[in-house]
Amino acid sequence: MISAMGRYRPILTAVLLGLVALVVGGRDLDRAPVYLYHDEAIYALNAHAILTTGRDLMGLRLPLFLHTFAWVPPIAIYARVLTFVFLPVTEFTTRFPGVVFFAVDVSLTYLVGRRLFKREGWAILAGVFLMLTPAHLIHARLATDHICHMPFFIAFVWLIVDYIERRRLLSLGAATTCLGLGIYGYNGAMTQTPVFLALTGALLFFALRIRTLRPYVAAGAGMALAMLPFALWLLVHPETLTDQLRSYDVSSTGQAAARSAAESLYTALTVRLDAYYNFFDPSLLFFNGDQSLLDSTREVGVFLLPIVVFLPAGAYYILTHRRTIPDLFVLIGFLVAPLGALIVGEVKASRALVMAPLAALVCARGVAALMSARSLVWRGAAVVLVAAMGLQFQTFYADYVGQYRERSSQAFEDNRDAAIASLVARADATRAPALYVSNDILLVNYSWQFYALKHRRPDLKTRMRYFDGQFDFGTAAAGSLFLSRPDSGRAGALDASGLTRVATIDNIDGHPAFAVYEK
Amino acid sequence: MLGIVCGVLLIYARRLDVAPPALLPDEAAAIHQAESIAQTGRDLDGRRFPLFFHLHDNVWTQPLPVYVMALLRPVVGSSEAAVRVPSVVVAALDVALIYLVAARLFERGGRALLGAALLALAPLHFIHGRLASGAVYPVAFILAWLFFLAEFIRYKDSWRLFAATLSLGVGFYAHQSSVLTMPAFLALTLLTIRTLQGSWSQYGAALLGFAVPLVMLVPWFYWHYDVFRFTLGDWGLHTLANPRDGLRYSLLNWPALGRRSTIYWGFFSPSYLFFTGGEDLSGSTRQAGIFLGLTAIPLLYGVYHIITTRWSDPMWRVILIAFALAPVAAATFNEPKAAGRALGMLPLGLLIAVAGCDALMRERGRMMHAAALLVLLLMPIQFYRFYADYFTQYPQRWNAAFGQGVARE
Repeated sequence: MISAMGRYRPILTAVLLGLVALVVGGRDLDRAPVYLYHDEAIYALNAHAILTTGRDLMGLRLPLFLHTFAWVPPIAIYARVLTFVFLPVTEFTTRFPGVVFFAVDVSLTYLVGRRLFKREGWAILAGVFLMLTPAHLIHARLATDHICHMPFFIAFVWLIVDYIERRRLLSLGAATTCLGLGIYGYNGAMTQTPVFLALTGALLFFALRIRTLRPYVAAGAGMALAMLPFALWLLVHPETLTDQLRSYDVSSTGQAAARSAAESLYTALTVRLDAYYNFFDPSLLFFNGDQSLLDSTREVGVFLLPIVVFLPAGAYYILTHRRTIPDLFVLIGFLVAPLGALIVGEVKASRALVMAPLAALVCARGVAALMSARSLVWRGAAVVLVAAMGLQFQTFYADYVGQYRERSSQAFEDNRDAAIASLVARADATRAPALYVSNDILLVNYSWQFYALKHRRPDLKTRMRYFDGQFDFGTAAAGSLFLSRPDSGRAGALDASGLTRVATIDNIDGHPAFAVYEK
Repeated sequence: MLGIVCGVLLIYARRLDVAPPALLPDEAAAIHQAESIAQTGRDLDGRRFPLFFHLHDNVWTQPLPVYVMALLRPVVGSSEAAVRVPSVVVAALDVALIYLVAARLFERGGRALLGAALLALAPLHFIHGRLASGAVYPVAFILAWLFFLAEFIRYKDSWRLFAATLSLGVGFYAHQSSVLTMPAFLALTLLTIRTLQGSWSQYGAALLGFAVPLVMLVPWFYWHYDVFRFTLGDWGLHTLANPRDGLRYSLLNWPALGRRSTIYWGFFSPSYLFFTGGEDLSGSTRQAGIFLGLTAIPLLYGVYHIITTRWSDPMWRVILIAFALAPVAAATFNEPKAAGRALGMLPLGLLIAVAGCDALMRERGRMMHAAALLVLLLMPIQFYRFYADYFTQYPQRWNAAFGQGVARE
């Protein structure tokens, strides 16, 4: 009986941690982020289209990659297809799959920690650290694909550690399969995968000193297996790769002004080197996070501040006291994690989110190191800092569901839902003959379609018409309604044409975002 | 050692009239003050042998470079090239001092020579060794501190400790950045005494050595209380200058902390250290880092080696932590990659690089030996490229950026 309990305890703990993460990550999901961004709406619309017609918005039948503005990997969208089988389309349900990935990440990190530390407490702490990582939570709650490769990556680390300990080829093959499957989760994984595959090769050759062919074949076969669907897809849609390179502007070298090939290469390298270095900028990691308010509250870093102590402590401990191959693999993995993102030379935490679980593992090692110190000061500091993490997370979360919603309302493209609701309500009440929306409202069509889906109003889908700066308002039927920005040239033209402003829609911060006019 | 000094003087003093092509405003102001002191014993505002010199607006500068210039003026003359000679002399002294420090640390003449060569060939040291701005002055005091600290660690004599912190105290007057850097290094010294389980008298000697030169601050600020806030503010000590608002806006301020941490982090960026140097063309050619690019290999290996192997050695621990602390003062000035304010990184980083070379040469693998040798062989070539650019293309870029005559307002 005890033995059975012992066998299932890790699974139970992982499930429990996952449930806690589900609650932490999913709380107030309908409130924060404040509005649905157009990328999120596009994911939901594609998912709904696949669910109802078997085709995406471009008309491709059950595609492996979906074309929006770039080619998007499938997992994020098919996860939403699955959600919409059971639940209606809302902001909450659109974002919920990300929270599930978030919870799975936490559980898997605990399992890796168990393998690494052989101590339940430190493994749970590693999972909790990942749960309390602000960037991880923020990206999980966006209905995009930023987090969808993470479970595969963490599983890869888990299986690699398993291979190092047991030398089972199956683990190695499964590890590289998981690593490869990550490309179906997030585009950034396309460049991360070669980095970690190379790291795996280096691990086999240099650290494990394997000179027989079979492990390399197993690793290669695992990767090939994962790549097979993609290769087949490329045969049919070779433009996926070229479009992708073009959409991420891979050829750009930032400030590089090429005068000769060598000079251009030199400049490109220094730009990349700087970008790599800046992935470890304390301001990004511990103080302000990403530049965009979509990806960060700007009041907290990618990690909570106490990590600034735990991370170096863990790294130091691994380098000096615990130079085991699995620990070094995790530490080196953390350091090389941003390399894949350098292909675009831009520093964005979302492109190197796999740093988060690796950092959580290193930090748990750091706490273990501090707690094993003889000095009471270090042990006390570790306890205080872990407690401080809880406090800082609470502060971050309060801001995230509070002031951040106001600060980020414009970044999330304003209160479109209320604006469309106001327009539709008035149209229903007055039986307006036509609904016009200003074409300077970026990608408003997707917000409109999402609104129609959410409110189960298929009649609205085709009712929206655009108007531009040249529009002759005299041609619009009496009673027509117009939606515009309140302070734009379009609004001026509407005023000048004698239309009546019947409603102004404010953002949550009180800033007027849209105006409804009636002819 | 005399040979090293002569060699550096020859390399550094060459064509001082050609590059940099004009005097910087801060250089010009310091030179005018030095001339005034040399001729009348008073600064341009009429103060008799002042402790700090008023440059412009709220900017006050440290006295040591001005007094050294005033002292050497009768010897070197007052031409545009001649006023930079004192810096060249200090730069040569730096190289001699790092030789002594490296000799003490490694107890091998070859390593000491390598340390001296690396400092002499460091682009940032070369550039600032030819400017009359005083940025190169703190290096000598930091090296003197390291030398005496290494002596203290070996012999446990209080007077050596006193000499070490006396160097820091005097170095306080060398440059604006010293105001924060030197106390930070004093704190490191005290920590070292603690590590060595030193006596109270040793703590006393260390504190006394640092305090003696600072005693002069008391009458200065007593008589010139009006400049107290401005001076502190200019040194980056905004919090002390105005405790109420300073604490709120400079220290306990989340965005400010983020901004300053980014500035601090920038001082260790690979492009800054090894490829392009500082952002200001007056202190960088933008074609070379503050170190020669190839220094990256031994420097990184040195850091790794110290952390993993030499961390229990208090001297190497001090050097590594001091290297990390050296740009803290520069970060308070809110100017990213202002190389002139972080010259203290140079000797510390280069000692680490020598340790890295030493470790590479001791490794069993031939690859490591070959890497170390290759780096050492290619470094003079890399310096030659920088040196050639410095005298040919760099003056043109300078003139294009700043125009002729005094470079910047």
